[in-house]
Amino acid sequence: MSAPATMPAAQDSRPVRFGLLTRALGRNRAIVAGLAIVLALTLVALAASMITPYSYHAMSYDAVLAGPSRAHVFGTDGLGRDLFTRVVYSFQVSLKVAFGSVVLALLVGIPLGLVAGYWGGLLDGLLMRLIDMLLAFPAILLAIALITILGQGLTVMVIAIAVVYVPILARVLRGSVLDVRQATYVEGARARGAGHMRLMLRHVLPNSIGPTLVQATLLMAFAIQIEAGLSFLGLGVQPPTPSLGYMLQENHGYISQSPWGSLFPCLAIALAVLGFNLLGTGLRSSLDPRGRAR
Amino acid sequence: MTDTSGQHLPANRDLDKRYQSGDISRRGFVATLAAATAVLSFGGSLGAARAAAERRADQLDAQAAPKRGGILKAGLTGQPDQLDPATSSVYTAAQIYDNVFDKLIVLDRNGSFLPALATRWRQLDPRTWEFDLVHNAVFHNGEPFTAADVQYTFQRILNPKTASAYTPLFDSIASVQVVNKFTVRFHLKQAFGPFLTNLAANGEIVNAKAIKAFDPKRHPIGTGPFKFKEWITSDHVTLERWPHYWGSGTPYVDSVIFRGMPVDEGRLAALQSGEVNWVDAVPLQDVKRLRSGSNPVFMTSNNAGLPDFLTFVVDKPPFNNKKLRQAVAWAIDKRAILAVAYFGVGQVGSAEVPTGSPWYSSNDPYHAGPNLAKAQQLLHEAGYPNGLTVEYLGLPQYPELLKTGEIVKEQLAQIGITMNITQLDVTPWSTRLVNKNYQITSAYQERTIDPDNFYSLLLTHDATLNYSGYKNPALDSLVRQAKQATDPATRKKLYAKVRNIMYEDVPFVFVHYETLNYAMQPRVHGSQVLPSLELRFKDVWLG
Repeated sequence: MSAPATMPAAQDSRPVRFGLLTRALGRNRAIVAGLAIVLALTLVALAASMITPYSYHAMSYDAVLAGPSRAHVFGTDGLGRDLFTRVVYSFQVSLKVAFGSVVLALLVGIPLGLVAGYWGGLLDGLLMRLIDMLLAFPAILLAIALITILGQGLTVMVIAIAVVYVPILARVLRGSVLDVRQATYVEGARARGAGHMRLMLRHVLPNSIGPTLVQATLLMAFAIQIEAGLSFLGLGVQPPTPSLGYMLQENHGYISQSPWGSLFPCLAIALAVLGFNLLGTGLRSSLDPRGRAR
Repeated sequence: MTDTSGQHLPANRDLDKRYQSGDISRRGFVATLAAATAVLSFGGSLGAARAAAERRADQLDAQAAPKRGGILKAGLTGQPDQLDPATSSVYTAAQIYDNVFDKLIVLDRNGSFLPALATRWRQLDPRTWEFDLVHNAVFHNGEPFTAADVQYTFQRILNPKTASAYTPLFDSIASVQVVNKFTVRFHLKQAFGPFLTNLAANGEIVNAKAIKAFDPKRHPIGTGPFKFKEWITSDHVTLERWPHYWGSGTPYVDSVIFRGMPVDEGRLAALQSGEVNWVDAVPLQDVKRLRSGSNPVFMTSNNAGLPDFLTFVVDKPPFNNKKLRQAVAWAIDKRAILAVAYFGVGQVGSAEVPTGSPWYSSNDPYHAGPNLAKAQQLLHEAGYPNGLTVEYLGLPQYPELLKTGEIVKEQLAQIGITMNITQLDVTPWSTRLVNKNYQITSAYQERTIDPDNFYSLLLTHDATLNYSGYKNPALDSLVRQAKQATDPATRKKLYAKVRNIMYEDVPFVFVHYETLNYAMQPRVHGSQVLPSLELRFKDVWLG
């Protein structure tokens, strides 16, 4: 069922993946659009201080809850801070959390899924029951519980979301590994005397990682939502560091006075989520020749 | 109170939870905690003697003759816990049961005492007070009101079996003597300045037979203007006009329905749609708009509310350094905080009482601030020429307090103090506050009508809510003298001296005074904001 398993020249995975990517880029508008959004947001976040003349914490006492104007294109918040600036800086937090949590989750989830799927048996059973337990928790509740234990802040939020993601990614990878480990080319490699390590890393992993990477991309979109949710609850970054979710929280009492204070952060969340989702779904349809979703 | 007091009684933990789940609003929350630790002891106020008739008149709307009839629907910020005035600890409950019960005396909107069930009172000696009672009051169960009910009420509050939250307000009482059917005498253990205020704050008179016949928590019976009709839990409480009310002519409305509406915006929307015709706690951001219009009518008072202040742990570094605290006090721009964090509503903070209070003394040196040059110099003298980094505990539940923190952070940055904000939920916040495991945070104190309620509870070295670690024998002695003095003028002078010490030592920086805000339909007349934070609908009528 896993896509790379049906690919020719599957023994060396790297050319296969890049080949896929270039082909996908050419053919798949979703990927192009998604990538464009994600790259644009990343650039905006990196160049935040060059894009806006304001500091995200500078208050203007005589422009509180001001509407969009030439001076403040998105208006100002309840403390007279420039909303555009805060949205731009918020992307730093969103993207740090999205990339950080997913990369961390991949670092832990890939070995777990690979080992469980490849070895099977008791080890697989144990790991999967553990993962079942973790998956039984609603994602955001698990994250909240972890933050309550570990304390607030960006790093803790990244870790908390990564903990939520590890079982998801490990399970997806394990599914593909179960398929791939029985493939004839794996048997062939084994027959030629390849050791377990070599089999896992050179043959099984490269050919089963595809769906996991797709899932990881989609989880970045979800991470942006979780980050916004946690920040809305005050469990994310601490003020005055801006975050999209926290901006919604700050404005929620003032919606009737300042609709833009909620509108722009909402649009920003939607845009970021859309970008990663387009990228993820585009990759998925390109990687799965049968057009089936995992 | 620093909601600190929260940690004293297990009941308060529940409250924290309920607060967090949105069942009760800040205001409700505050008062609740206050009540639970008896922070409520209101203070004795000054000038107890204006003619009763005059005061009755000034409670009514001047323009028109009151009309009888109609249903008043009031939107409160939360739900009552129970309706027994001796044991309830939720502000919302007091707002309701203060219409069912009467007290011997009450506070008017200027902080003077008005007669209620007591027509006259006098101090026979520093430790003895005598009250003449009305002759025509009748409890809602048909029992006539007499001096025995007064005696029973305070014996009940002081009886440990009752487990009243208000025992500390009345434990100065040695005995209550029934002189005759309509005269009662209080014998105190020692002279106690806030005695009358405490009677006016929490002295709801109950009837022994009624307490035994009905569950006082669910079915309150008093002599008040409204008789309890029904309480549908988590929905509403209905009171009906008591036709045998002793106060002539009142009440005017046929019934009052209290509904709990914890969401600020929802409460205002309900008022505008006509679902209710009176609401408590107008969101600050809406005040400007309401003030400029005439529908709904906005109402506030310059002497009813609560002080918000910064508090330090003064017995641990870095804020064990007095000059550092003074530097903070001089660096803060309270006017900016008033304008931005509170949308211009309320007063610039100066003391534990508002400027409209008879206890106010204008000896606050920081009122002239901010003075950054002075702040910087003090910081230098404090031994921090290059500034320092401190941690502020922020309470996101109270947006105004957190916004205050964010503004203070910006202002302290100007003199080189880096203040990092850590947001916490109420429960972990109060835990750290109570354990003095913080450096600086925002706190507030409910109902400081009598300054004693503030200083005896927060600042003396043995105060139950002393979470700053502040200790100064000179202040303790002045507070003790002021508590035992009964002459208001003497007490006022003593509290001015107490404040001088406080301004010098800066255990607190008074940032803001939050005022109570009501909104109502223009047809609602006779409502007023009282410094006791009580809600009395006796004189309210519908046009």
